[in-house]
Amino acid sequence: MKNSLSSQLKSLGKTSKQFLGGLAVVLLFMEFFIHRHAEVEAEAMPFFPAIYAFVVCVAIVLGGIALRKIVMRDEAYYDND
Amino acid sequence: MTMINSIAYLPPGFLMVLLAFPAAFIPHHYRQAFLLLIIAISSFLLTAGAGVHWVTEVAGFKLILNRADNLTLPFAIVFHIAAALNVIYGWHEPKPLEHCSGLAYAGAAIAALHAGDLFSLFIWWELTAVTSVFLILAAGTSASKNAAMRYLILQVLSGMFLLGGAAVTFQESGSLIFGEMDLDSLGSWLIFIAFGIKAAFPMLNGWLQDSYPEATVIGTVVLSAFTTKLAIYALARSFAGTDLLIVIGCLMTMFPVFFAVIENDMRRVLSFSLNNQLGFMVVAIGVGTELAINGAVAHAFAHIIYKGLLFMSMGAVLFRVGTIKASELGGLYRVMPLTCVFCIIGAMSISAFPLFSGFAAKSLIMSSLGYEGLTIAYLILLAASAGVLHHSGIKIPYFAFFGHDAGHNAKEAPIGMLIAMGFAGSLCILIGATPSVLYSVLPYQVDYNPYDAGHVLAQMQLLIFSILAFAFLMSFKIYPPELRSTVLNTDWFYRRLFPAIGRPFLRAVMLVWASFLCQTRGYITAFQHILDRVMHSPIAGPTVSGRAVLIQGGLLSLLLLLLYVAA
Repeated sequence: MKNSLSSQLKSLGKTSKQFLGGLAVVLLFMEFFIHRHAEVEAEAMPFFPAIYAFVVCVAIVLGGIALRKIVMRDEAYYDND
Repeated sequence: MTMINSIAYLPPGFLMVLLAFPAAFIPHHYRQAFLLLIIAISSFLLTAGAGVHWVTEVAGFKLILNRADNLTLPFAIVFHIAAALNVIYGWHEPKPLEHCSGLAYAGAAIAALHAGDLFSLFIWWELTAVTSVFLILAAGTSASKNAAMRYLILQVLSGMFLLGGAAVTFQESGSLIFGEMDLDSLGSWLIFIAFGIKAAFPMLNGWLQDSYPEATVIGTVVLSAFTTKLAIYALARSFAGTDLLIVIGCLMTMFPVFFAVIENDMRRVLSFSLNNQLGFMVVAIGVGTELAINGAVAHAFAHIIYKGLLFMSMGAVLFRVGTIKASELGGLYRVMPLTCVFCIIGAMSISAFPLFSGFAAKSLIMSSLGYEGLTIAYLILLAASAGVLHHSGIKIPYFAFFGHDAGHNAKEAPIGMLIAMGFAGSLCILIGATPSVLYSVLPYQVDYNPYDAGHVLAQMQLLIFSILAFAFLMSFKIYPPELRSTVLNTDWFYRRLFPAIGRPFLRAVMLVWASFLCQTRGYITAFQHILDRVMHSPIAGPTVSGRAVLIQGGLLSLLLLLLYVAA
């Protein structure tokens, strides 16, 4: 039972990644056919939302890892409060 | 005035506060039905429409107890919806404490919306604090008890700032009206800080992530709806167009994102994410145009429902599995499939996927920034949007329902929880698919369509590439693993730093005080010795039988002497 759930999760992960990859390519391609909406000037750059989102998300996670060094404590840190 | 007429002019929410306590004595299922009935009656009072419905005079002050307009209406509607969903969500719980305090809390928040003067606002403002603290206390652990006390202190402190601000404002302007203000006087600053504490401004936010995750399963869901959004309403009422709010809001959207990434307690992750969502509303209030205020209100409306839904799904997991730590969860999609689907609907709504409510609401805010040419704020909010998707949109469902098999053999959530989540999820999709439903109750006329192809494409690129980044970081094992830990937040300052600094001072003060007491006691003893000596060896006459008699005799002599001198 446990093994089968693990393998199911793995194959689900694999399928999702393939689907995501495919969707990402389609979305980039669509930019050639649809005039993408831009609220500010910077956004008019080709593929701006895609690049910006990817970079920001990686930066947030790296920032989180750095933040851990400062603010992470043992789970029992506040226990004697 | 007939009875019916006078009820019609009560502020909505008032009955909920009034009947919450008696409702505790009704047996379980009848009580839940009764609570829904009270909420329905209270919401019926919203049909009174815009206007000042009830003014009374107390000790020379004009109190406006029921003022309704197009800013109160959307908040009042969604507060009633949330209150009703909470009753259904908690139906399985037979004990009355959470239900009744939840109802009184929601009622106080609704009544606060309708307060037209600062003093009535203060009363309801404090009542939301006092009624809601039971939702945390009800968890019954020592951690929750301590968190509840800290929560209460901060909430009451906010009330004190509000009362102080009201008093100073009255002194300055002679008016107690709760309306537009400029940040140009002591009174308005005090009120601004009062609102800022409840709205969880940066550095004033510690209470939120400290207390909400310590509440009960039902309690956290109830808490997530009212206090902070009441503060958003108050800011929109008084400080629309205040530039400072744009800066504050931008900080609020960004900072919690990093904390949410590394936090292990899923309800705390959602509390950080709640803070980030408030940031969007605060920015919009700071922009202050009609479009922006519409955006702030729409976002608050949609947010109460999808954030409630997310807290509901995590509450269901906690209820069934017994833990809500990401490090101990995973693989629940097979045993809790419906909860999983509802959680994903909440996640897609908060991430602002097209066809979900967050998209309909957030687009208004983003466009308002674009129209005003606020490029930096726009880019910060865009980054925060990607961040939201990351920690609320992906992290929450992924680590609870997918990830790895944590070996939990849990049951699906109770039926009441599923119905409440079903309603909330349907509302998320309804608002997302037909935004006009939401737009029709906003304060200003809306001429806006979020569904043009270019806009949808931009949003989809943003979202899909954020998810891609997550998949990329997971695949290359860069994503930080979920660890059992405590993440320090701004509550650390008053839980650790201030006591560390304050304790030596306090010790010094206590030392001085103790030595003063000691000295005084010495003097008293010496005085008593003198009295005793006089008692036992009188200069003339008989021995006096006690100190008290002697002191009385002394006082009488003194009085006689004084009178003699006076004469």
